[in-house]
Amino acid sequence: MRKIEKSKSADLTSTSDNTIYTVPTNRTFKLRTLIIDNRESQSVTYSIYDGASSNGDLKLKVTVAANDVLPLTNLVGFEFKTSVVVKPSAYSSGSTVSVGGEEVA
Amino acid sequence: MPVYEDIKFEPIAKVGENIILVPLESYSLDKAGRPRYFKVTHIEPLPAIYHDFGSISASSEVTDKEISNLYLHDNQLGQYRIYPLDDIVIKVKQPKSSKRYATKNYVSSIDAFTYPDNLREIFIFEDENATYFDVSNPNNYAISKARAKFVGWKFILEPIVVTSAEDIPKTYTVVPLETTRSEPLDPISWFKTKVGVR
Repeated sequence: MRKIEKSKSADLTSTSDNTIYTVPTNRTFKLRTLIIDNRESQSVTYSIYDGASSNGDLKLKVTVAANDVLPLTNLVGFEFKTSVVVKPSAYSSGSTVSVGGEEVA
Repeated sequence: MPVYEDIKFEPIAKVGENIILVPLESYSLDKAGRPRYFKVTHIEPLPAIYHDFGSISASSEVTDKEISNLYLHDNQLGQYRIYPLDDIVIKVKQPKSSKRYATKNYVSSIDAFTYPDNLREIFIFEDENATYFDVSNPNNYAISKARAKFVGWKFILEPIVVTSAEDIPKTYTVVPLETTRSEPLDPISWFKTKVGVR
């Protein structure tokens, strides 16, 4: 199967849904790398959905310590068909979420 | 030899073989209005012709882009495969008013995922069948480059003089240059009609 390598990064702006990457129509994004830079003074739990948290599929939930960076690589099995949406448990000084992966059609 | 059969990217015809261009319109006809047949006298590779369609806004399309670098001299035919280098979707128009790869209600396109590779092929005869491209960005963010690579074969052709039905080559490869919406005319029947043979 042919694939395109993709990556996207975004600063979180609230404790609501933050769309990091929107998957183009008729494609599937396979998450291979996830890097979370937590600049909060407290640990934060990041819920990662395919689509909006209200009706999307919860794919991943990780907690990152205060002022820490979590790099996850060589991920397998996390497929997104709509968008990569991150909902943090706290927001003040901010976090940055970067995703990398492969897109297939 | 039917078209679009090659799995590897081999020339559609070999040196010494004959071709005919369809649809049977304008440049594929001689001055008397009869189908033109050609013999392939030489083949050269075209390893890489690069083109950048430029920046494209998020989820947008640029239309009617022409690439003059794909055009050839008289009595030459190009067989190209299109490989997008960036995340773009390409629709081909031959002629300008008609998109290739169309079904009744949908226009298919070429992107990074197109497989098998022979589905990426187009043919350009000299600079006669002008070819245009509509290029879209499927992402919800702008892209600064929309590059594609064209690889192919260049055929040097020699027109075959056909003055009677007996002169028509026994075998030939049909090269589709444009969108054909109706059943293609049989070139031999066409020729016989034009010269009054029954």
